[in-house]
Amino acid sequence: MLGRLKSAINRYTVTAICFLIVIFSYLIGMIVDYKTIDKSVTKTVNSAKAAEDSTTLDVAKAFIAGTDSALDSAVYNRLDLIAVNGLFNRMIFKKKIDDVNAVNTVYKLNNGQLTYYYPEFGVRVAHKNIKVLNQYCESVGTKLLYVQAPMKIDKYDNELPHGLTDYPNANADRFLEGLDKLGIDYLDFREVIHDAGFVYKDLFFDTDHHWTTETGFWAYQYLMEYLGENYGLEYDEANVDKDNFTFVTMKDSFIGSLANRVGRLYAGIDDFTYIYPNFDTSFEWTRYDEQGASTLTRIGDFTETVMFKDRTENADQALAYRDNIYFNGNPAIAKITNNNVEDGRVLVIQDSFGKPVSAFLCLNFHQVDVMDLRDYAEMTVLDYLKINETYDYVIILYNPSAFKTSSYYSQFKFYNYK
Amino acid sequence: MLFSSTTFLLVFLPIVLLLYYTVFLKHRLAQNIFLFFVSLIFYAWGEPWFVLIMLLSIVMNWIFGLLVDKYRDHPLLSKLILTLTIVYNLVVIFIFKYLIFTITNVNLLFHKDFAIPEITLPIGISFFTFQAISYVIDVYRRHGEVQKNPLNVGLYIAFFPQLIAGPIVRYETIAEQILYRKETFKGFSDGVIRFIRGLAKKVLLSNTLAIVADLAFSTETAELSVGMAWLGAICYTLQIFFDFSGYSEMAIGLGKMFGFDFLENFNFPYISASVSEFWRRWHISLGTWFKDYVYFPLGGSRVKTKSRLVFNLFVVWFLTGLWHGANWTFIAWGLLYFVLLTLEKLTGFEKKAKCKPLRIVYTLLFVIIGWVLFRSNDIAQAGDYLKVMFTNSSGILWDNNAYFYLCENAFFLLAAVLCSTPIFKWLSTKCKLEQNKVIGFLYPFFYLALFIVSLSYIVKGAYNPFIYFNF
Repeated sequence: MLGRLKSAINRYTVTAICFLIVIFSYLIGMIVDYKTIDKSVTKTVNSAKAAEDSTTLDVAKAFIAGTDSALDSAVYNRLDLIAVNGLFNRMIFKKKIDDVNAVNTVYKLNNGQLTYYYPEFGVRVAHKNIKVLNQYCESVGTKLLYVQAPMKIDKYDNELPHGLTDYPNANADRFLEGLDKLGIDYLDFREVIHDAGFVYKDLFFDTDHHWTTETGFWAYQYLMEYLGENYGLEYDEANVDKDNFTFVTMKDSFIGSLANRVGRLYAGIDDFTYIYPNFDTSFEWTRYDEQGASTLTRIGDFTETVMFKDRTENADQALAYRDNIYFNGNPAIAKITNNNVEDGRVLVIQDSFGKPVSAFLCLNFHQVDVMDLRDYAEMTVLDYLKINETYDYVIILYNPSAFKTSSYYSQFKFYNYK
Repeated sequence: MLFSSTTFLLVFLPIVLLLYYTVFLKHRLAQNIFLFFVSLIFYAWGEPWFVLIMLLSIVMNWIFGLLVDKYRDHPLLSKLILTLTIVYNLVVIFIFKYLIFTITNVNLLFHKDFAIPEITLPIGISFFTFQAISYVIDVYRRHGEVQKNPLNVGLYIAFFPQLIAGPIVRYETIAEQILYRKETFKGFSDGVIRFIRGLAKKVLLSNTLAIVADLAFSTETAELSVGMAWLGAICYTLQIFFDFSGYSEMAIGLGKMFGFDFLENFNFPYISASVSEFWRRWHISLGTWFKDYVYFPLGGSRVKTKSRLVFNLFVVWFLTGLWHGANWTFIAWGLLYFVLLTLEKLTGFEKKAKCKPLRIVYTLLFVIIGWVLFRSNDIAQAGDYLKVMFTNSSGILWDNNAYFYLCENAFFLLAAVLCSTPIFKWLSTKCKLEQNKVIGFLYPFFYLALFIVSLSYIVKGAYNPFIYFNF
């Protein structure tokens, strides 16, 4: 018996046994998580059933698609598998990690940081839209400022793997050239950073495409100074003094969205710093959905309203989305009223680079509204400005990723153009 | 359902294996019925209503099989039934695969305006239709027993491992296995290894190189450098090989897991020293199918005149091209091989030509040209692409894209080139690796790592096209 067993055990049968152990382990993992899978599939099927003119075939297809998607998400220790994928790519020196959705393909810069990368893009529609917006703002006495946030790819030393051209910055340059011609004011942080002589790499997370909270805070300080010098804005300088803020750094605690895609063994882990004012503050913060309906209101000081402290929990663990500490993500619209400041109304049309900046801007104005045009769909910006109270400032803050097909036509749609 | 999906790998496969080897163990009929029903689920997962087309095909061919068997002593009647079988199957495949193409070309040629129907191609229709034809012909030729039970015919036609992308298993190959196969753990283990190898070929090599090929073929030819055009063509050459041979290997592996032995479908085609040899090594099941059911019935090469031989070759290669898709590019691709094979046959190239390396280069060159035709959207694009490759018509010899994608995929290109030759097989024999204990110890770890890395690509949601699903 033992002899027969011994002869049956060889490299091939051991491989087969290992294979069976692996696939059955994953199956058990799925069974354990069946409630999540069931919930997700039911949701997809119900939405297919609710659709007008839906047939049995449509529902069946929705069931299949929903099951595939739910099973994909429910793979036991999914992040560990993605980490394995990252390790493999690291071992073979891959600098481009492809994604099903090409926009989410991740590139590794020569300095080791990760970034997205976008192709050459025409900016005519953006010029057309901002021109109309500017004309309206001028007609009602609102000041319009475009703020060009930087991208991980440094315009002056792009660190891209050999063979790739820095199109994202070239796209942004073309847009700013147009603003020059249109006579629209802009603040180009790429140039400010270059002139200030910072170590460019240090301004960004390694594992995420965003600037760090500290860089966002610095950008806020610079923006306030710029508004003071160029627009005569008067503000309390204590609100921009670094000494009046607490900086808390959580070591090795942040997995950026890029690392989430390519795995921590490829990307590494970042430190995460959050900042909040030491002085008394009083806010009312309301978030609205894409159709302008109110979904959440918070009242209290800075840390209880614009800041979501739950993103700092489990400081000893490396977690994703910690950078949503301000505004808890990218709200379609959020309106923040500062009870300690009587004057000043600002509309900030922003992408995710705006989160830390707008959070601190709130300290200086009675009302700051932030709008993300990737989600907000109730009406155009122009209609919104006409209906809502007159703003003192409209600030548009985008990083160069705004010049990509998937978001460009919503992010630069300021009026109903043809 | 894709083999390279979490649904298949981590849910469908373990559940089917578990039930097959527990609940239905030692009940062959129950096992067959079970395999048939899970095959229907497997197929319906891609497009639910197409399963009805396949079921109709199964029922009709089961009836044709019974009739052919019943009336085999009436030569005229049995031939009539056989003709009916072929007509029925070809009409079905024509409607779903070639009707739009035909109407479009009639409209163009005769300046007509016939409405073009909206017809979606059922996945794998060419594969299961050819298997269905094979069933009736083999019964007619007494190469296999007629199946009284339609579920057994269903299992032969719809068995999920080879259902949607082959290999085209001829009925005579597995007629006996349907009822009398023997499952062993040794066979099962071989199957697992073949499956993992096929999965890795598909996920790691084919899918990765597909990105480069897709980029090259989607670039305007006026902006395409010679370097990128060649890189794209080479990547596509490797992509299609590892896509299809990977799928075939997974199918063979899965078959073994359930006790079936399918014939090999690929045998290192890119080391061929002639185009004729290439086709003896590439998609063997399709080549054999055409040889047995078209070429030989036409007379094959044992004909009186050379013109008849040329005609026979023309028919086979025109049909081979057409089988791959309703597009002039596929027909041109088939005809390219008709020309090359005819020349080789008429000149006795295989017997006369010397200098094997040069012959391999000649073969590869035409194979690559063929794949450019095959991959292009239309003949015009193929022509433009080939012009860039051979005449530098874009005026750009080398560009950043070519450099970046060459460096970026160096590992995969090298691995793909090595894996398309029998070098590892040769090394294994030469160094007696089969008996090496260290290798024996590392072997399961290597395959497990290969599986886990492949799985990681699938879970990550990497690019995952299957070329042969469209045929």
